[in-house]
Amino acid sequence: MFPVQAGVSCMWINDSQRLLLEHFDTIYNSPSQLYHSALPFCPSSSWFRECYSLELLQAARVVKGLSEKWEMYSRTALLNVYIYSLSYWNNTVAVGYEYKDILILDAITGSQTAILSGHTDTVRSVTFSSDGTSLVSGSNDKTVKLWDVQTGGVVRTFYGHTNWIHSVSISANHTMIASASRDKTLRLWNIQMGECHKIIEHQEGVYCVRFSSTNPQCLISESGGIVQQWDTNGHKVGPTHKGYRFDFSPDGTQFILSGYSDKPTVRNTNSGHVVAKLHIANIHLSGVPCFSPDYKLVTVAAGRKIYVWDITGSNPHLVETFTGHTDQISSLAFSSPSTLISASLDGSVKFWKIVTSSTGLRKSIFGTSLAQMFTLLRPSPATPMESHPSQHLWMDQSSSGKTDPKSTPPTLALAKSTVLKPKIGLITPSDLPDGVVQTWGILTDLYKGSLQIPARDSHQSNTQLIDNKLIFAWCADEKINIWDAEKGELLQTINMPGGSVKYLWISGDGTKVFCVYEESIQAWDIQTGEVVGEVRAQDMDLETRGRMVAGERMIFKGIEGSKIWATVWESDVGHYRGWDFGIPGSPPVLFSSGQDSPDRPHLNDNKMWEIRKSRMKDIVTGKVVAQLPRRFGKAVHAQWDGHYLVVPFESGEVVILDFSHVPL
Amino acid sequence: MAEIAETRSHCSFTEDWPNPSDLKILCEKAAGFFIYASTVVKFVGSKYHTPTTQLAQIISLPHDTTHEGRSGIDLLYTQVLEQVIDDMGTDVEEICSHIRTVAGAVLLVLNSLSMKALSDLLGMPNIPTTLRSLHSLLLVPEGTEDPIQPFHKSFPDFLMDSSRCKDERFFVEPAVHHTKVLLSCLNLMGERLKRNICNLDSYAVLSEVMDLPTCKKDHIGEALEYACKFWSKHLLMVPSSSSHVGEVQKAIKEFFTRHLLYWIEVLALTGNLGVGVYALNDVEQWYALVSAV
Repeated sequence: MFPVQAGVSCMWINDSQRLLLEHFDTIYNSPSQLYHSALPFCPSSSWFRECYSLELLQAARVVKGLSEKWEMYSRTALLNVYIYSLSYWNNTVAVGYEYKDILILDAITGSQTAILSGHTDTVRSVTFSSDGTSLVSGSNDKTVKLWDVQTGGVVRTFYGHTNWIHSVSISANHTMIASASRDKTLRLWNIQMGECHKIIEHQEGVYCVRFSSTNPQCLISESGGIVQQWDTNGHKVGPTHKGYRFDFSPDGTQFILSGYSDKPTVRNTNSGHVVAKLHIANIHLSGVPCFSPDYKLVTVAAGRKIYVWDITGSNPHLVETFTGHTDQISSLAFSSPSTLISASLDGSVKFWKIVTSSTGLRKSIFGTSLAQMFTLLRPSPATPMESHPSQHLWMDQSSSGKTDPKSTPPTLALAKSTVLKPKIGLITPSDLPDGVVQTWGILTDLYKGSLQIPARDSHQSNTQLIDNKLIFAWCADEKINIWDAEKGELLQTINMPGGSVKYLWISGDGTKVFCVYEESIQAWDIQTGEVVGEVRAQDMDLETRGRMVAGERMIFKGIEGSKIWATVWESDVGHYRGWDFGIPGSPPVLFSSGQDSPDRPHLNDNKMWEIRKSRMKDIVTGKVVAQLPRRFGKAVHAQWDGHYLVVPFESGEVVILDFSHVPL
Repeated sequence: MAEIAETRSHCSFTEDWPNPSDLKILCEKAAGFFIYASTVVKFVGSKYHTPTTQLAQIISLPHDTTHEGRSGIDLLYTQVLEQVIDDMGTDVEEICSHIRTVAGAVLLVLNSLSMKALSDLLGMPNIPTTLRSLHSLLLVPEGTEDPIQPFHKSFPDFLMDSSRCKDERFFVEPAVHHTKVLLSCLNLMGERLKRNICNLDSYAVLSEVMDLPTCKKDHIGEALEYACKFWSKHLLMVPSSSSHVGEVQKAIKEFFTRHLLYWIEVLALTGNLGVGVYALNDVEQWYALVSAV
């Protein structure tokens, strides 16, 4: 019988799932991005890079920005608004967020399957009943709603609160709902009668409430940093504790409490005694806690991180720290004993996998030796791949594309040094607090040097990669400074007449620098430092004259070669104008005008960079030629010279793609 | 019956065919089950046989109404199948295996496939003949692109239950035939999947492709779409004790290392990308079962 290679097949399945989930939306919209974007960004340790090396050769090469391992989360559902709450039941995730709706996601694929509409303001809290038939939600619109999960309709709306509702919970026997509100009350609602059963007054706003997972008479609430247990008649039960957030264990006998100290605690529900202390170093305020359904793990989110402890032994030990969210985590839920879902104010829902190793110990996938797994994966003689992995990246161009992956083994050759032109990249996050701009070699990844520019709140600066030459311009103290980043020397200092520069841009041919002011655009020759031309909004013969929008009349739209496009605002109407500053000895020539809003190149070579979607588009063909994975977050800007795309991200990461062998 | 007599007037019918005593026997055998009656009508009305002989064969079946008439329909199904092999030629063993494969595929696929798709999927060009011979058991439409399905749930129930389908030549063991369908799926994907299968522009966005349905029909087709969407469901039906486990694992290895990306591409093109995530879960689950043995 064929030997069962569990380790190897797990790798295949895991990598395939990661690839599919991380790039789900991209592939969904454009299947070819599977080859152009998803595959090139597979981690360097993934078996995909070996098995599909021929496909990889036809795609842009990720020079910088490739991670060694898969991200810790398997899927990010990006909603781009504050997400406050999530609840899980049977492959379904309900999400309460800044908008009025409740989103229903498929917990396996992360895609949206339904929208529940009914609330008239932000939904702060959602929770499924334990049998999954109903969903309870609390909103800023001061109402609690009970939904029928099957039909998506509202079964009941409970009115009475006089301020935002921050938390809702449903009792284990589905007879009662508790709601915690900023109006300083905790209210208990009888589902059958549809009326308020009890109002429990507090000194301060109530921000969290949970019914016990098993005892319908027992609930906990938080107000003013004090946590109190109640019965359903509104009587206090047991002592108070300091804390903010809590969760009941699946059997209801324990609850986990987090808040003031750096030690979240697991406590006995009846006595309130501490059963286990969980230690997080250097964290003074911990957030949402959660028990795993098999009662073996507890997790606590503190800020942007999620900590996971194994509590099966006598002492809880930390098994995992998940990082990836870029803002505070607002809600956690387990979808299986090994899958955790988190929602964050960063606008994303992430799905995390906690892997149990074969010995029964819980161990992160990322902690296991990938190198060792790879030796198992080394192809048999049927699929020869003799060369070292790092050599896959270049090959004899003439044989690419023609090789049939099934019949002929890939012929790989190391690139000749002429292919690898020496290039350098400049990394310039727009608001560098210390004013230091660093230069790195694109291909060598070596630090080349740094430049100190005056530290300011906000700098207008621009970088262009032109014909192998990297130019950086910034303006400060009424001077425009232009720097040759490769040589590390100042090319030119231009004295400006003054005024607030809105945009600074180096022309696509690298000969000029454009300053866009509120009312005018000026161009300077980098070589001579002289003014080349100027256009002023007030000189323009616009159809209507009237009030300006926000005091700013010239808005930069795009640039290519010596041409620049801008919108000139007149009253509420934006007029698109394009000027060519490239004719020597004559004023700027107006060559395009209109009221439509066409795409304009922000990069050389008819390409534009779409910041929000992290992608580069060709404005002539309209095709997305480069799509960067969502995980990098928001890009600062991008540079393109026809071969290399350099994208620095707000997170500090830089991605460099080499397209020199890819026909675009 | 009168209709059969009329349309098939070239055969010699006696005036009172079918005679009232035969009809009475038929009614008793059917025991109120419509499917019995309708199968008899199709069997007797077969274009390729003489109705009188056909009817005589049914009448002569032993009268057995145990199990609330179920046994009756079982005998009828057996009779129909026996005639199919009689008609088809001499190599009985090969014919039976052929019938099992085809009937197994028709009955086990997760959504009904057309004759063309079945023939593509199983890689068997002579499927139409086999399917037409089963016309009284399966709804076989004239068009090669319309779905084929059993007339009544009792037929798959009968064929896949060894206590009811006593004749080993016809018995369709679900585990075996799920394995067959699975291997057919993997084989078809291996043969047909390739990069940019629909010949779209590089960097094409799906919502902007004008003739996507035609592209899908021409370049992917029903059989490949089925294979891509459902192979993992057939995999789950392969028991970990099966003697084919090794063969299946080898085919899956081939799939992951050679065809995976192209599979994802087809799923995206056919709007089944979410299915892919579930399918990988299925594979994971199956491997867990197999490695536990």
